[in-house]
Amino acid sequence: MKVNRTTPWLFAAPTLVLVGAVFLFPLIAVFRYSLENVGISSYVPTTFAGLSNFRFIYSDPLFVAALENNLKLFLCVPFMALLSVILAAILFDRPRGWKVYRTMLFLPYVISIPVVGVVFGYMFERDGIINSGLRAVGLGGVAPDWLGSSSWALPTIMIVIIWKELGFGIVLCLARLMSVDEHLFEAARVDGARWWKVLRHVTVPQLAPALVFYVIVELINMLSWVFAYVYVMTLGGPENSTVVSEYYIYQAVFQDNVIGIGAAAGVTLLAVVSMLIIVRVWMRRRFLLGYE
Amino acid sequence: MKRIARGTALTVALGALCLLALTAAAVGANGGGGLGSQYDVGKDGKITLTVWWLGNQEVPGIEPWMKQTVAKYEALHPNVTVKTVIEPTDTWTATQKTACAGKSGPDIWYNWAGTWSLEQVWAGCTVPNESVLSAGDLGPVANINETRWEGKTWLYPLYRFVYPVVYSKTLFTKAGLDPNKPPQTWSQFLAACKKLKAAGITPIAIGLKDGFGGEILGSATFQKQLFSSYKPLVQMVINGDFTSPTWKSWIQHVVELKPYVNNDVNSITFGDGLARFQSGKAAMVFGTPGAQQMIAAMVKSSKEVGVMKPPVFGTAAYANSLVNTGNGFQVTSWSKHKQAAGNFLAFMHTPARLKALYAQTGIFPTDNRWNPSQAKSSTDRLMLQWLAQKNVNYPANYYPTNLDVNGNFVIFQGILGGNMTVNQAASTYESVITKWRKLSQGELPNYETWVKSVR
Repeated sequence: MKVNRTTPWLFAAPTLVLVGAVFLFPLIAVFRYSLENVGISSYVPTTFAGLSNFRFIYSDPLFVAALENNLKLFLCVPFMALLSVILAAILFDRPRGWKVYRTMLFLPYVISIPVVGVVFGYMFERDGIINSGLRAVGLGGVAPDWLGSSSWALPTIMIVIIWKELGFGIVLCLARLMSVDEHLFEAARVDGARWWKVLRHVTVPQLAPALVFYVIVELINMLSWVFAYVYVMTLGGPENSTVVSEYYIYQAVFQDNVIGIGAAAGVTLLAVVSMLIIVRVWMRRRFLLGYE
Repeated sequence: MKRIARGTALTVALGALCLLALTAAAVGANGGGGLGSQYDVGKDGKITLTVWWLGNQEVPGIEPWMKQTVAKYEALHPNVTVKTVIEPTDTWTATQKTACAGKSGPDIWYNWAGTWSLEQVWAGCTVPNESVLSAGDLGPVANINETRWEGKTWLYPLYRFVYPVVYSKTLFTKAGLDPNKPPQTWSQFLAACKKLKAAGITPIAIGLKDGFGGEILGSATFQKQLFSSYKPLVQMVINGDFTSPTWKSWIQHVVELKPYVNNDVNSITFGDGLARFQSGKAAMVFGTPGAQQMIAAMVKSSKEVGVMKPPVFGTAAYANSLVNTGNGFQVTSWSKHKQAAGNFLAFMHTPARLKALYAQTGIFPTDNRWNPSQAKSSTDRLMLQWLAQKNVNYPANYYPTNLDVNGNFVIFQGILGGNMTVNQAASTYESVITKWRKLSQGELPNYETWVKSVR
């Protein structure tokens, strides 16, 4: 049967329109806003701004600091990847009670961020449970003001992020390992490889596709999914030391009424995230197709 | 002569017709009744008024009062249903902006005074009081001028937030201070703090993690001392210098305060700081919305508490005063029942409802139809006496929220919880305002018109 070339498009049209309305329209709107001084009423009318919003944010020390903070959060990712691999490998050996451990390690991932933020917010108070514990064992001298000091607040948020996001990596790696041919591990052991050697030469290469996916997803998370941690735990403080780009966008749009600036920051963030997605696609094609 | 007379007659007749038409239009616009309390809601048919507000988050105990108010109003006007919706404070401004952008939402919403209300006005979200309330409804409201702009007022305040320094008489006595003679000047205040500290008592409890403490402390205690009117403050927003010696002068006093506050200011919230004072772990706390309720609760649990005006260091007229601000409601521009909304707002201000408001919550109604002699406690009477002497408003209501969030929040965290210097703090304000002026060129003209109305 001969199909008219336009027929498939006709069938796809409703979906395309829906996708366009849901994704394309907001995207175009954000791009448009980023080039405007968006007015909010007849008292404050909209005017065309060209690239001045972008020039402004790139020269704004707060936006630069926010991006730097996002980049600092990237440091969480290697820790999470490393811990995920090691813990998944341990669980893969099925020690006694491994299913309980697996559940416990995954549990933080399913708890909502505001709950995590509030609980850790109290735990990390200067006189909170963590510092009380440190003082009780004679380590009071090294008990910092975790969230109250501008030099400690971001690292503290990083600790919480690692705690929360680790479960996803472990389950991802474990699921991948369970689909690997068992003979590969047996062969390595028969050849005399010990646990670390098996991990290095068999487990890690087999985990590569899952790991690349996890690393890229988490890098994207560190750029555009950390607002809730900052909002709940520090509100960007103290002294704006934990402002990240999402928080900057929130402040610009909802506190300062400068929608164009928020949109320009949003477009910048989108560009960086898009680059990461391109890297992920490129790596998959270049290195991982054989493993998948 | 005859021709002229005929022409004149024609002109007069046309004028009269126009006047008649205008009058008819005006009468038609408010449904045939007056405004506010004089409006006849019965003519509107069956309608629902929706109110978005913050309830107990702003004034503990106000929700039952509102429920009662709504019930009484609905009984009086069976054709009207009033639906109240409590919104979270944290996202309140964002919620308002979202509603305004979509031009859909409540008929009435709660707001704070000054820029908080006016920014919504400039965004076209609300209508002036004068279009929904009568002169008789507006006249007795003490804090109505906090939102005067372009000859109109834009928020109908219901009650007053006051910002005293609250102190524990027990801890004052313990430190050898006279509990009935609290310090009045800055030097007396620092001397008292020193004595309290020497007695092993934390002089002041404050939490800055959520930033508001910086706003409250900075605004109600320090910044107001530079002014005798807030006109110069609004002018500063337009083109002033926030690194000037005058502006720096109050920041220096914040630095002097540092040794006397708790050492974890940045890791606890403002509420946590208050709780610390309430539990007797600190001698003083800088005033807060709801101070009256906090005092009442403490007195109920047999604690001896006093209030004082913030210690004076300035020489301007506002220096020796108790700051207050009137918070209330606005009618939204998209409401289909603006006049009925005005009528409901006026009902909230009837003497019986105002009396019930104070009786049920302890908050001071900002309306002369409420008789201050109803004040129950000595601290309330003292604060009302100070307010009657001088009605000084909250300075943070006279500058952009950006200067508050990225100025006050940041510099108090930096000074009291970090190592920020006076110069760094002043530069922070200056850079925030410079950035704001650059970004808000559309809003600057509103400030330029506002400065003419500020008193």
